[in-house]
Amino acid sequence: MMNQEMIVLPKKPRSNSLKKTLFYIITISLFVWSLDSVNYIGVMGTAAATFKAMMKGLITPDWAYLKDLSVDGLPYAVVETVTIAISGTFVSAILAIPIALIASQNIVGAKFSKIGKYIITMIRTFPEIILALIFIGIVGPGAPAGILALGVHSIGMLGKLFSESIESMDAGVKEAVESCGGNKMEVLFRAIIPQVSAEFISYTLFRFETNMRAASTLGVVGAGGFGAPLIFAIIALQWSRTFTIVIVLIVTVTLIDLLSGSIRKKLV
Amino acid sequence: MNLKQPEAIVLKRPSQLKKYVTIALVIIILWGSARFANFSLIDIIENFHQAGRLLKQMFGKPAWNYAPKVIPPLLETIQMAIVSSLLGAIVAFPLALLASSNFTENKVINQITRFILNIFRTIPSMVLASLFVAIFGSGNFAGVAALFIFSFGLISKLLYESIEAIDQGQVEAIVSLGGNKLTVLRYGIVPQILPQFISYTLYTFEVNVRAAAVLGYVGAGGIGQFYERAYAFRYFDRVGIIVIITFVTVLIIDFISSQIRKGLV
Amino acid sequence: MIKFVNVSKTYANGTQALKNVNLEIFEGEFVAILGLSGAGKSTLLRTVNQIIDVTEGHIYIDNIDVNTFDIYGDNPDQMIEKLTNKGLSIERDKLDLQTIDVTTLKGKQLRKLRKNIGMIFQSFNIIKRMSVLQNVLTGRVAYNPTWRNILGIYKEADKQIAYRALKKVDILEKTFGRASELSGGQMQRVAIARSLAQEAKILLADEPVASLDPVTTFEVMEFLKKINQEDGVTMIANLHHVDLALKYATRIVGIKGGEVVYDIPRHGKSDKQIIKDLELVYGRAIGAKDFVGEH
Repeated sequence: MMNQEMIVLPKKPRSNSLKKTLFYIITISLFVWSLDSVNYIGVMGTAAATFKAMMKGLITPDWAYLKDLSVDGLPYAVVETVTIAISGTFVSAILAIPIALIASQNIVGAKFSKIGKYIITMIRTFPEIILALIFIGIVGPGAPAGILALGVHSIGMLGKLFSESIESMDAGVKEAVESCGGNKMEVLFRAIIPQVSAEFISYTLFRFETNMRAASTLGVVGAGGFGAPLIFAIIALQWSRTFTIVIVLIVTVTLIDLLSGSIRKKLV
Repeated sequence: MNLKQPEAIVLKRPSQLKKYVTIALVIIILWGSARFANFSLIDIIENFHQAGRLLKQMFGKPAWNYAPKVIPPLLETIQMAIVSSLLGAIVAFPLALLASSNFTENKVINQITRFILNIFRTIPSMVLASLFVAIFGSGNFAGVAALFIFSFGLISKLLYESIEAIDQGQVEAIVSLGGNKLTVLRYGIVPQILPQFISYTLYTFEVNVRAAAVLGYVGAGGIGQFYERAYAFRYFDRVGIIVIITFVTVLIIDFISSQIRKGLV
Repeated sequence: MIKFVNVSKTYANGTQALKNVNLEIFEGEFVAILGLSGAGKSTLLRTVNQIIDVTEGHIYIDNIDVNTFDIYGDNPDQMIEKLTNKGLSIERDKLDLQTIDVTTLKGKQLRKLRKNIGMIFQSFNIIKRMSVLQNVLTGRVAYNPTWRNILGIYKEADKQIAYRALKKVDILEKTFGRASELSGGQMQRVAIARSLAQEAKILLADEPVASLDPVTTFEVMEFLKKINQEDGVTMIANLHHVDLALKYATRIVGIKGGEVVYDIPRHGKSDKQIIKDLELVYGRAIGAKDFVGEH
């Protein structure tokens, strides 16, 4: 056996694996603790039968409901949901702009922007359902409550995305306008808005996709759209109608996703 | 000496027609939507004083003595979110691999997987929860099941988009070393996407905590049921305290989560 | 050792990258492949370890043991003696050495073959999130069962091979450091160490120095020369720069439009003559940008 030269290794640095192991241990412990909450009471005796009935309903659509063009029919509910999403998104987009500006470091400076960011976080954290309930209490049940709920909630998300956009914007353009004597409004319109408008529209469209899904559920509490008929159908065990609505929901949201996605690609 | 006037340069402006038509279309859609939904700003402004009253009832004097009753269901809600996010992440990983065109070369499998994932992502978790309540009875299980499905749908999508964006060179290197598919996965792909995977899971967890909080509304467990009862009985001060506590909890969780995500980079 | 016979490759989009390539490479050579971008150099290199398959033709490698797919080169007896001296025990009678057409290999056999063929890339392809040591250890994946590779747990013997490889490229001091903290030249050295850990008999280098500054370029080329001469690793390198080829290669091959249009031992002609000949390969005069420069 040939004599090997001694290999002198460098000092092994303090192991990062301690942090990693800790992370995994904590995660697993949390998981085990959480399993406690999953009460598998023993699936309802009727579960299997319910499932079968559901499957049957899945393959036999409720044509009458689908074709009913009156206020009680599905098409109306779908259109209402879409309009709630559109209006809600639009409202939030408009209101998000000033809020985003006050949350952006490069517009109002570090201190104020922190306050702005907190406001945004607070708005984002409010569950849409609760907002919907509050607005129902104010304007009564129906679509307007849903629009307001979506609108206010989306300000949070859009505000955050918009302000991130503004903060990552190329500072040079702003400087250019300021250096040739532009005042704050001119800087806003000639430097900031042109740069970020494409991203804004993109984010707004993305938010619209999310809001379509949210609008479907708000109906559950009475804020308009096909959420209410859906819940009623489920409670009444009308599986045919239930799955008709679900399928229409999937189709509608997917179509809107595709449409919105292709517009967003064109913007980039 | 007379300076000869230079000839004025006349540029032909490219047609702005498309732009105007788009703007007009957008305005029509917006206006039409508002009308259809009976969204009248005037009505809203008129009713706004009502808002003040309601908000005062909720937050003016929140029912602090009710607070201890809120903690256990709140913890349950968090537990539901943890279980569904983690299980969702575990299932999402192989699914995302199947959906990635650079790991699974079979295009048919790619498309089918993506299609299925899309369906699960499109159904709002509350709808899923209602369906599961109908099958499994009301309680946490239905909620966890609904959130689990939503989670793996969301994480898979984010993950496979990441997988398709990796630097293929590192994969090529492992292939050239004689690694099999699993080895290529372990060395060529996982190191590149692991931080993002954890980040997506944390994000999904944040979303799930909010969702779990309201699933109770359809009977799927968590704190939502308390909302419903309090609201139905018009104990607005209780609604207020639930909102406040939930709110603070979500803030804390978001903060911890974003700290972890920052440390991942 | 390696023989290309009528090798052609046409990609799915219709591009014909290789046209009827006939080429024979002998053990221990340092072959520099020159040519314009898109001439087919990268494709040619990748057909050796079949990362890219061929549309037509065969690529033969001599003296491959059919069981382990180890490569024994042009002088198997000499190779066996060298390996025995290093401490490996090889039973001569158990070996079944044959000439194998690599284009026929698939799956497990192909992976076994790749064990012996190292590859380094222009973009280094080091795994940045792992340590230098872990990167070099990936050179041992073909020698280890899958479970060891997945868990990243390697035997001490493998680690010793890795350490020796790191020493050879003079980067031991970075062993436990994160790969992302290295400079370009250091990353390439780690990549070379990886191939050394593989105990590769053939090293394919695809534009190994194209992303490096002139000083580091020569550093890396010196390491390649070192392992070619000291360890007998057959080197096939795609190079951009003519002076590197002149300085380091024992043989110069020119590719144009997917065909081998020039093939000459390094000392077959004078430098000036070779440079003039290369005008045919490049289809233009050889200029300053084809040279790294004085060092």
